[in-house]
Amino acid sequence: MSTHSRSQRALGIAVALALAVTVSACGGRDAGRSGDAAEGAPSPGITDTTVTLGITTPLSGPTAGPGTCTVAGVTAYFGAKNAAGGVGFGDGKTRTVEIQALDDTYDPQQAAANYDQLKGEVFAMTAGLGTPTNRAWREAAIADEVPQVLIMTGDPLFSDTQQSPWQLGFVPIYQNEGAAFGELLASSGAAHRVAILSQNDDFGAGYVEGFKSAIEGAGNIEVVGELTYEATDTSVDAQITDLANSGADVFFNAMSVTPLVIAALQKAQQLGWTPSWFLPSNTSSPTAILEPGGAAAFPGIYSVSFAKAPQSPAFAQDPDVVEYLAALKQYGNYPDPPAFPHCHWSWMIGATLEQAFQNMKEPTRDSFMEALRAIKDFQAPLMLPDTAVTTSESGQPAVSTVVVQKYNGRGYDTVEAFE
Amino acid sequence: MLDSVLVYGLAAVILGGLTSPVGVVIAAWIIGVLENLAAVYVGFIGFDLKVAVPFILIFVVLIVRPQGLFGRKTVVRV
Amino acid sequence: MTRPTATPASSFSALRQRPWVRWAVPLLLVVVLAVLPLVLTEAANDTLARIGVFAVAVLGLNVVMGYTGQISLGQIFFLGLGAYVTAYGVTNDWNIVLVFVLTCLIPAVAGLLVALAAARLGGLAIAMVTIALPIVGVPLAKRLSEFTGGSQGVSARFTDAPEGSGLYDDQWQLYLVLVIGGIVFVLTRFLVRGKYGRAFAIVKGNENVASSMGISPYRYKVLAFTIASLIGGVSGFLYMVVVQYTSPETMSFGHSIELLVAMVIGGAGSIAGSLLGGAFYVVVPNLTNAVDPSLTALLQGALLLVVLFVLPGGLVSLPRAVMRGLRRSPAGRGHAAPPTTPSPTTGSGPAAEEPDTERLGRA
Repeated sequence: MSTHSRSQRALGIAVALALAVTVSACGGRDAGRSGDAAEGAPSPGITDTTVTLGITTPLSGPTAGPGTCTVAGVTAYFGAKNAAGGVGFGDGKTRTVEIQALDDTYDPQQAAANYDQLKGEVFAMTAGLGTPTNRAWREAAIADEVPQVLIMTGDPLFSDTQQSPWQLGFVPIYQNEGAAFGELLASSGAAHRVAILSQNDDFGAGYVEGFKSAIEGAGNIEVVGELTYEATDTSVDAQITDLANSGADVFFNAMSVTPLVIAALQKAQQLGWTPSWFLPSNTSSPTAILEPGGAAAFPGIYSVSFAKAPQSPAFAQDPDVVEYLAALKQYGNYPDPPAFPHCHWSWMIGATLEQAFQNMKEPTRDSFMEALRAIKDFQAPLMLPDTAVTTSESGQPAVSTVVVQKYNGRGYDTVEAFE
Repeated sequence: MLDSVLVYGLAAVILGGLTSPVGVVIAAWIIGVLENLAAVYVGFIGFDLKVAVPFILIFVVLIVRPQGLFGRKTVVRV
Repeated sequence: MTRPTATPASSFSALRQRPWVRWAVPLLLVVVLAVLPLVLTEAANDTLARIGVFAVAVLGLNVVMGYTGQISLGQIFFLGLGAYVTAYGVTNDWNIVLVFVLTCLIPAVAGLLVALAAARLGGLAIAMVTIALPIVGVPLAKRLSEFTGGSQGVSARFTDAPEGSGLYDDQWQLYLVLVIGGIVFVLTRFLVRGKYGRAFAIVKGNENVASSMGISPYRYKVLAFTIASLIGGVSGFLYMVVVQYTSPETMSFGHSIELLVAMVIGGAGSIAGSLLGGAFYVVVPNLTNAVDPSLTALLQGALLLVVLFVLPGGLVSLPRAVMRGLRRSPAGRGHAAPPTTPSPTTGSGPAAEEPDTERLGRA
C-alpha cells in the first residue's frame, strides 16, 4: 500500500511539475493562436524599430561545426548593419535585425519543437541547416504562413513554389552541382571512366542524379563503379579499395563528412590510385581538407562554387573578404577564420534578406515573401563572377548557378574545360 | 560520432566471450573481415547494411554458445 | 519543531487512505486534464503533447527494463516503426482506426520475434541484440525508400482539428495524446500491479528463484519485451500525431540512449517516473536552449549528472527525499542541508567531465 500512495503523490507532483514548467515557460502570452492576425496588420516579430529572425540549426553534436556557422554569418552581417544604424525597409522605416537561434542537434523532432517555440515571436525563419530538420516543420510553416526561407539544404522540394509556397532554399540544389561537373566532363571530348561514391541519402543521390543526367547521351563517359557509404560510417577504405579496382580515371565523390574525405584521399594514394577527383562545395576546403588529404598527388581536384573562398590566398586582399572576416570576429562571435563554407553562405543570406527587406512595402510576411521572390541577378558580397542570386525562378533555389573550379595547390581557379 | 566504435567494441567482447581477452581480439578480427567481405560479395547486404553483419553473427553464435566463442561457462549459484 | 512538520504529513497520508479520496484524486486529475488544453497557450499545449509522446515511449521501456530488469537499448526503433506505419497508412488513406491497430500490432509482432530469440540470451547479450535494432533500423529505413521516403522522410498531416469541433489543432492533438496516452498508462498500471507485474518483479530479482517458483523467466521476458514494443508502437503513432513527420533520424541510436536516460532520471520501475522521464526528455532541451543554444549538450549532461548524484532513485524519489530531509533537518540543523532540490543551474561543477557522457547519448 505504501508504494501505492507514494506513486500517487508522485503522480500529483509530476502533473504539477509539468504544469509549472510549461506555464512558466509560456506565461505572459495570451492563448491567441498564430494566423489570427487581421489583414494588413503587422506580422509577429516586427515592430517599427526591430525585426526578429528565427533560426533552428544544429549547434551541438556531430554537425555543430557547419551549424554554428549558419548562425554566425547572418548574425555578423546584421550585427554590422545594426551597429551602422539598422536596415532601411521598403515601408520607409529603419529597423535593427535581431536573431534568435535555437539548437536542434540535427533532430527533426527538436527542430519542430523549436519552430513551435519561435513561430509566434519571429518574423521569418531562415538559414537553418539540414534536410530532415527543415522538412519536419515545412508543412506546419505552410499552414501557419510563416516564411521558411534561404535555408541551407539542397533538397529541391523547398524550391518548388507550388508545393512550398512559404519556402525557398538558398544553396544550389545538389543536382545543380553534380550537373555542372557532369557537363564539364561530357564536353571534354576524351573518353573517361568514372567511379562514383556517394552518401546514402538525398545528398548523395541528388549529386549522382544531376551528374548522370548531364552525362546522359555522352558517348565518351562510362560509369564503371558505383557505391555508397553511410554518413555515420567511420571509414570508407573498403569502398575506395573496391572502386580503385575498377580502373576509373575520374572519381565522382559526393561526400559531406570532412574526416571521411581526408581519409578517402589518403587511402587512394596508398593504393596508388590517382584519378581526377570531384568533391562537393561543402567538403572542398583547401586548408581543412585538401592539404591534410595530400591532394597535390592527384592530377586534378575539381569542385564547384559560387562564393569566393575567404581562406584562399587569392582573395586575401579582396574587400568583401576583409569586411566579412572582420565582422565575423566582431559581431558573429566567431574569432577564428572558419573552416566551413556555411559561414560565408550565411553572410550572403544576410545580404539577400536585406535586399528583400528594402523592397517590402508593408511589415507583413506576405509582403516579405513577395519582395523576396522578386530578386533578380543580385550580386551578393563574396559572390564569384558569373554567379548571382535569382529568386524568381520556380524549381530553383536562390543560388542556382555554380562555376566549376580546380584546385591549384593553395586555392581554386575557375576552369572552362576539363584537362 | 564515435558510437559505432562503442558498438563494435561491445560486439567483439560479447562474440569473443567475456572471460577471454584473447578471444575478444580474435572476435574483433572476425567481425572486421566478415563484415567487409559480406558488403562486397553479398548483394542484398551491400555497404549500407553491412553494420548488420556483426549482429547477425553474434545472434547465431550466442544461440549455440551463450558464453561466446572463447568464453568459459560460469555457474550461478542460487 | 519536529511535531508541526510531522503531524500534517501523517494526517495527510491518513487522509489518502479514505476511499472517497482514492476516487476523487483520479477524477480530479481527469477533469484538470480535460480543461487544461482549452486554457493553455499554443506553445504550452505543444510542449505537453510532446511530453505525452515520450512519456509513453519511456513507459514502454520501463515495462521491460524498470519492471522486468532486461536491458533494452532498442526502444526508439519501435517508436520509429510505429511512426513509419502510421505515416504509410495515412498517406495511403487507410482508415485511421485500422492504422492505429496496425501501429500497435506491427511493432508488437516485431518485438515478439526479436524477443523470442533475444530472451534466450542473458544480460549483456540482450543489450547487444536490442542495440542492433536502431543501428540496423536507420540504413534499413533508407533502403526501403518506397515505404519510408528514404532519408528525406515522410510527413503526414492528419491531425488537424475536425471541422465543427471549435478546437484549434494544437488542442485537438493534445486531447488525442491525453486520451490514447492516458489509456496506455492506466492499462500498464494495472498490468504491473497485478499478477504479471509480480512475476516480472521476481524475474528481475532472480531468474533461478523464478524458475523454482514455476514462473518461466523466458516466457515473461518475451511477454515484457512484446508489451514494451507495443507501447513503443503507440508512442510512434502519437509522435506522428504531434510531430507529423518522421525520417530515419527519428530512430537513431542516440535517441534510444536518451530515452534510457529519461527513464533513469524519471525513476526506473515507476509509472509516475515515466511521466517525469517524458517531461525531462522534452523540457530539458528547451530549457538549455533558453540558457545558451550553443551549450545545450554540455548543460544537459551536467543536469543529468546532478540529478543522478542528488537523486539516485530518479526524480520520482524527490518527495520522499524531501520528507526525509524535513524530518532530519530540525534535529541535525547545521550539518548538511538536505540534499534534495536539484537546481538546473548548479551544473557548473561537473560540467568539465561531462562531454564523454553526453557523447554516448547524443552522437
